[in-house]
Amino acid sequence: MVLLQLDPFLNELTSMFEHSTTKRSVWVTLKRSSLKSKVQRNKITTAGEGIDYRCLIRATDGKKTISASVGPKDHQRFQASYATILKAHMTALKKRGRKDKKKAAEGVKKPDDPKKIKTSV
Amino acid sequence: MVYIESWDEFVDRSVQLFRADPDSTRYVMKYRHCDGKLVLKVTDNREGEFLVVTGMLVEFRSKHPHLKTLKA
Repeated sequence: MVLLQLDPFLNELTSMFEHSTTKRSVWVTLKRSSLKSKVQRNKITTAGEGIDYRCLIRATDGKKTISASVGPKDHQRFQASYATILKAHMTALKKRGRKDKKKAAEGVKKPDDPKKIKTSV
Repeated sequence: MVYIESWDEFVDRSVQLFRADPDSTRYVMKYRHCDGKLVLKVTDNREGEFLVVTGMLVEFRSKHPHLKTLKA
């Protein structure tokens, strides 16, 4: 399990998608975590401080696993880059479905949804 | 594990699961290009639900992971 910084993680994720077109799957898991053990967490709460949570993201193609930890400050940037990667690579999903959902999306869009999409370098 | 067919219901139930137990709820996505399928699963190790997608606009997913930074 390789723990990476955000940009290398996104680059590795892109290459996983690129190499998994004919046979394998790509798994991505997101989970909230404070990255501290239970003992440390209990200590912090008894001291009356707040625990910082981050989003732990893991990706695997069956052979290699990579992970990254995203904090609230990086979250917007991560979301934008992550969305770009997904949209670019998930081309095998049927087109017809996309058109129907697009109409639904236009009605349901959140105010901060049309983010500026930045490509990760 | 419950299979859900509607995106909105999937989101509502996922948010419920997360609020009930934020420390053990996780969101899993599996994409198979060769089969043209995307499977989304949310579970807290006790119950969960999943959604299989064959043609979904990926922008929807940006709604979902926001709940991961919510504090309990």
